[in-house]
Amino acid sequence: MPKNKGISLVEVMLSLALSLSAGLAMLTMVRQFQNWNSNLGLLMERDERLRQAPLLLGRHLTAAGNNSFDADWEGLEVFSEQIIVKSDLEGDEGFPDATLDGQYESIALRRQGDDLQLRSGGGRFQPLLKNIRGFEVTDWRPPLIQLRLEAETSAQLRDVGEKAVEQVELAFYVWNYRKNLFKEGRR
Amino acid sequence: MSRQDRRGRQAWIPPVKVKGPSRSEQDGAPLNRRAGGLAKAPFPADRRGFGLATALLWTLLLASLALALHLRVSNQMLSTSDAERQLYSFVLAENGVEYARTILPHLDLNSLLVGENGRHEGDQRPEWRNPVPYRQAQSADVDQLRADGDDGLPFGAGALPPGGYRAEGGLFLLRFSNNPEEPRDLDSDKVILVRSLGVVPGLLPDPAAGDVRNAVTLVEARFRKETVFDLPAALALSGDSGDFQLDGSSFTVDGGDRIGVAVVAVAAAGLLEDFLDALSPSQRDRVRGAGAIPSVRDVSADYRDDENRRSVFEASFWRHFEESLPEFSDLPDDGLRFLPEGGAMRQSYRGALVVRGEFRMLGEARIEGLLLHLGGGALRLRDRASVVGGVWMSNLDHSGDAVAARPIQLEIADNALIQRDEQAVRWALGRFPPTQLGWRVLFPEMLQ
Repeated sequence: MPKNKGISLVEVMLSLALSLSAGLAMLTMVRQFQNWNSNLGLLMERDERLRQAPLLLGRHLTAAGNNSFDADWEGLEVFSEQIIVKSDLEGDEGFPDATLDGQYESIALRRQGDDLQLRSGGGRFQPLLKNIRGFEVTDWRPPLIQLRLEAETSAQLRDVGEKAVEQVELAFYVWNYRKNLFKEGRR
Repeated sequence: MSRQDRRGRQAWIPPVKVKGPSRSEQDGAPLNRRAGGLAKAPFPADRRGFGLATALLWTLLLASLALALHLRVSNQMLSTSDAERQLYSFVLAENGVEYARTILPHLDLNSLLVGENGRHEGDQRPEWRNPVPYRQAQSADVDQLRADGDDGLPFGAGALPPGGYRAEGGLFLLRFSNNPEEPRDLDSDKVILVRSLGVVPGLLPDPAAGDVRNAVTLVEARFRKETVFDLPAALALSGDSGDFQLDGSSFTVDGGDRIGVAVVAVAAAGLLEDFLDALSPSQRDRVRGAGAIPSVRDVSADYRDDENRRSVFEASFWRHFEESLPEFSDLPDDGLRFLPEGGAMRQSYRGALVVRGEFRMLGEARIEGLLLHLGGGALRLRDRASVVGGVWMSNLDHSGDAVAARPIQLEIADNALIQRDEQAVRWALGRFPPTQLGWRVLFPEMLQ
């Protein structure tokens, strides 16, 4: 039988120390990766919200003001805290019916807390986009409305200690405010 | 060499070192003095370790992390791509409406509504106002997508093919239809709907959709084709009175198969008399058209009965028109121009020319199209100046709620010519953009 030398205490201690060092190095690297991955996820989520913003806002803003020339309401009103959009989009026959009682025919947009909120008709404000810390109309000269939107990550970035903020400038052409050479209404 | 022990297990017999230094001792392997010679020791019994396991675990860990990152980035790319495709389909649909707006002034609406085969197939097809049904656009192969039927599809030179306009990465399809207030195949109010469908192909098959899921946006616009200045005569005069200087017997006002001079009275009926009084007996045959000499007729009733033409009696119509003209006529080329201070002209021009103030056409000056003189001075045609198409003259005060007519001032002398030409009038009318009455985005739940 071969002689069994066994493992001495020194060898055990040495191997433990080496294992611990290696393990620590590995864990540190994994933790770094986890932080990086987590931050990447937060940034991607924030950017995804900003990417959705033109689609979500555009469907309401670009079609604002689809009203009869003698309607007694304004198609798009800009206030310091809100944008109000009124657009006669459809009626029972599938065509505009000179009323604003349909879905999303009268909407309001505002920023409240961390959310960009939307209200349809007389309902309550609902969150449209989360973690929006800035929403501002920078210019409204028909037919062009320009907005500034600021989004932040939903949590602080690891190793940074604060939320990352990204700003976008959006411009929407409000087609119903396009100028006509001839008067819209007829007697 | 090997032998089996009592339990049948193979025993390992270490090699015997014959000469030289103790490699076995250096290697840590026991000596086999009986077996003779050195043997290879691939797996020494007392040599054990976890290097391989560690390497495998590391590899597995790194591979997992890389795969997780790849999946995350891939999903993000797909999500971004999806948002961009949807946005692009929106842009394509908007462009389709703009294209429709551009070609509408050049289209005959009743021919357009029934299509090239001359008959309207009817409104029994679901979503018959759409180029293609919405759900079909979402799932069809974009390369094979075609508008069905020919109702509402522009035809003729320069029209879109049935497969729509193909841009890089997508396409838009159009269909015109009559406004719901009128029959589907007969237009009289010049109001028309156009639906533009923007389609961007999907990237991956969507099992829930059954096939590829394309990004689709449907936009509808309502337009009115403007025909207020589709003149019924070579020379149309609107007002209650006029100061006419008709010199010599060489000038010509020729309506062709239309009237030579049409009079549109605003409040009183003195304009027709003033013009006829200005015509000497030797000049009567210089004003001709529709087989009449002189060809002069009061068409005020026709204008009041026409839904579009009656706008000329509205002060707000003229105010809006003159205020908006500078924005639509800022190009120096042929097409649509506005001269708010009048002036003199000796060159050629093709299109619609709108003038206010004293305006003289001299020498070989020629306008092919429409000349709209809105008063504020006289219109003078001398020498061999000519207008081939039509002339509108009015001198209205539209500052109040109602128009108030002021006297028209017209001088025609020498060999000046005003000749009605249908083609020139059509071309000039095409310079006026249609009036947009509405614009909306349509979603599947809104479609009928």
